[in-house]
Amino acid sequence: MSRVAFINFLSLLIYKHRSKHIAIFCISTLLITLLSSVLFISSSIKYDVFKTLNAQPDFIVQKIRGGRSVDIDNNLADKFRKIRGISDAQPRVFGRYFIANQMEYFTIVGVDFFEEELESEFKELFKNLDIKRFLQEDSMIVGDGVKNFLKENHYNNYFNFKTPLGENKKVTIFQTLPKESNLIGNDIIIMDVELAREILGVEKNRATDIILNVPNDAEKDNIKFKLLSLNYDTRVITKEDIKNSYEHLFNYKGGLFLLLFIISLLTFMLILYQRYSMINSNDKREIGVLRAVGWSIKDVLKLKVLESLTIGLWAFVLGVVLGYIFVFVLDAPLLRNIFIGFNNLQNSVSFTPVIDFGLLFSLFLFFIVPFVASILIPVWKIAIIDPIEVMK
Amino acid sequence: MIKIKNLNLIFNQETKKEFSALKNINLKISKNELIILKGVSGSGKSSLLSLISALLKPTSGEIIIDNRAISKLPEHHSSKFRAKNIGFVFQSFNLFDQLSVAENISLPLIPLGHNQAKIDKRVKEVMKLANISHKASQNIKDLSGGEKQRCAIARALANDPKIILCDEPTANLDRKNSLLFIKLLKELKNLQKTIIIATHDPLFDEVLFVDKVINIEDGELL
Amino acid sequence: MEIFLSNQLFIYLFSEGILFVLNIVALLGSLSILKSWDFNSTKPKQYKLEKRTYLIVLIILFSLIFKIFLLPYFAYTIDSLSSIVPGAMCGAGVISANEYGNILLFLKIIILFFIGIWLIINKMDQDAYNYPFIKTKFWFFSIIFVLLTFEFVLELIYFSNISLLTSVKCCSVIFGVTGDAKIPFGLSTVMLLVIFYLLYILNIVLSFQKNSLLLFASSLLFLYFAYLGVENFFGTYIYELPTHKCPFCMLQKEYFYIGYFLWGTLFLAIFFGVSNFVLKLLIKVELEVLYKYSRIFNTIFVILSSAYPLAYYIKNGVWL
Repeated sequence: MSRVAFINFLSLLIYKHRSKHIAIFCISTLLITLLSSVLFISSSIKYDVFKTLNAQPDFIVQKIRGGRSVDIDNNLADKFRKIRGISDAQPRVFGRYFIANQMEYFTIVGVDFFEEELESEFKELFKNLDIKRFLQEDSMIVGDGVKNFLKENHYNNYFNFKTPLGENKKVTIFQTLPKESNLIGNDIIIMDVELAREILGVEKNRATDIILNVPNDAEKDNIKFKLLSLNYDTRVITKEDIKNSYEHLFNYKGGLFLLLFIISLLTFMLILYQRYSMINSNDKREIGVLRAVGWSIKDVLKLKVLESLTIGLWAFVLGVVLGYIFVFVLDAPLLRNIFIGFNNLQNSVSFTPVIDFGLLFSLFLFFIVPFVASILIPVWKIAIIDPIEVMK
Repeated sequence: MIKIKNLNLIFNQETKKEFSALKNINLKISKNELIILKGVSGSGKSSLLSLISALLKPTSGEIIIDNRAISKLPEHHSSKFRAKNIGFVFQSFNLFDQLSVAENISLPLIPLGHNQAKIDKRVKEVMKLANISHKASQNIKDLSGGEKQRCAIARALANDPKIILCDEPTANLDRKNSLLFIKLLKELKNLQKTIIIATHDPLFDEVLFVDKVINIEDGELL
Repeated sequence: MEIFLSNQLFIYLFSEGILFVLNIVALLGSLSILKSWDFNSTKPKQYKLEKRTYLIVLIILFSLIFKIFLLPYFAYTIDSLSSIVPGAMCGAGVISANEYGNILLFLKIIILFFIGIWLIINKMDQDAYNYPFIKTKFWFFSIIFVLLTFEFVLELIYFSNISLLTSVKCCSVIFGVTGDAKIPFGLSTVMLLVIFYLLYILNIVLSFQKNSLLLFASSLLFLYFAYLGVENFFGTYIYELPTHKCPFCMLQKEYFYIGYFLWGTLFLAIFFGVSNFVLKLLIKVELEVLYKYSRIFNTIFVILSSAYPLAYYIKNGVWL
């Protein structure tokens, strides 16, 4: 086939049949925009979450009583440090502080600013922090969602916490967390560890949990075993466990969406099949003329398949671009709530652009396979039309 | 060069609408002959042309062109045969309205796999022959009947076929253009083409360079 | 069951499902042709059957194209599952999660191979003037369809039996992490390489001699030793780690997806080497150009695999 002439003719044919193609083009683009938006959001969130997770400690040890986590003994941290393979152990103080209607909460995280081995995720944050000034009076660093909530309730510079002992504790807002941390940090309040202890009601020699770091991957299983056999009432959560459960969550949400999406896809396939099966007498004559001047069925098949495929491919490209803009430029209004969720404080997270080849290929397969499958039979039916019609 | 032996064509076989379009046709046509196939509508002229161009397959019998049996060729082979050896001029021209003259003429050349330059050259040649070069980039819908006819002829000549088949070529033309068409026929004959014209236009009775007139009625040769 | 909600797996199985349905259509067409084909008949039914062959060929052609894309996507899916299958660090762990994994992989490659042969037979059938191989062609497709059914069912069984709770072995355990990997027949690495290169030369020689039977045998032998070679020697240079002997990890992004090229060219080399013998068996014809392609892909594969150790040696002056 002489390529240029063929492509010329193909484009003319597509233009000529544009009324037939336009509906398919629009529906395809819409479907792909929706699908790609969802996949972009989910992979972007996954990326951010896993980036944060990587900074998490390797092990979290909790004390369990009655199946629930209770405050653990601080001294256990020293015991753990002595175990070979554990590089450091640190007690943590944190918890939820429910506000007003009891349905929303802040996550209060206590940080010991004088502790040498600070958790890595905080190191960045406190690089530029004037610790002396921060500790002069009761202060806190709040996440974006907390700041907005407090503002709405007319607390512009401070907030009055009520401790479990009934006291009022006025805490000044020192700084807000950068917006980029909104995914995890939206409802977080960071304060000095002793202040956190007061507000959360954690005793002086106790902590919410103890975190451990194990640099050597191969030792992890061993150490988990050792920890569990040391204290009968502890639960050990590994970083892998958390990663796993997030993976499952993402899979679950993503999979459910795809399942529902399949219904639209199948409907679309039916529409495609129907639309391209509709052959009017003009089309028949066209094919008849081509065959009469020497085009074989194979040539006509090539023409017709490429005609439909071109529409599908352009719709795909446009749909992906639109999806990209929708998610990474417009921050996906409406759709984002399915993933970020309505739970807790309003979150205005911005999505980090994350695209990888595997994702695009998945998108491509998911669309192009059903697309091509739907057009094969209609295209064939057109190609085998007897050219005798043109003789009349 | 065309040998037809015991050719039969039955439409809608084994149904109630069974219809014998051609009955026991035997025919020999030599190279470079200009043949008039004469008969009224429905006499089987178009069917015979379809069979010779391998657009249809016969129910029984043989068609041998240049010592090659084309009646039972698989479709992709018969298409290739048609693309290389046959040029067709239809009664209603059958041109693509939205394409230009040049684009229409290039259509038969696309499946032959020539490169673009070769196609362009050939298209120019045949447009000159058919005297339609001045309308090369015009859309078909802007052409007159006579011009459309010349474009159709140019298309039929594009692949330099050995055989040219015309089905009622003057049915949609006025007298002036019909005469022009006949004039063009003479030039084609000079180009060593074998030409078969199916028509019942009396204008062809007066043509002197016709080699044979074959009468056909009810699917049988008279 | 939860595993089926994994995005990649979902898309993968959906695509396979659609292809399977398409192939059912092709099968039905094939059966009708096998039943009623009579080339010499001039009845409308015969012409209808001839037209039907176009649809069947179209479906099979697209099946092949998509299956060629779906095989690396299968590898990608398996690889992405390694993040939710406990213990798996790459696809190798997931494939060996149960006994069906390796059979499935093997079956997929066989199917690709058969479809390739089918398309060659089809081209030869269409080039002839009287469809000489049509019945053989469609019998062969019926067999391919049976394999496709096995493949689809096996896929469902395999994936539903991957446990998300019990740990699987990682490739370092499966393929031997201690430096003295057990190469079959007790061969040393050097011996393995000698056999590898000798078989390559043998392949080239036999293809010039156009000996389809010996080339068939030699290609299969080469397949076996090439696999061992890549796993035990060439692969270690891709990872630049003498103990990393995994055929799957090289499919990942970190290694620039070189695995696909390596295994791809090997597949093509073997395909073209073996095809003439199979063609002779099925339709008693062979094609010269297939010998040429077997030489080309054999050579590309050997160059690709040798490039890594050579580059390493040139860069570092020592072997691993």
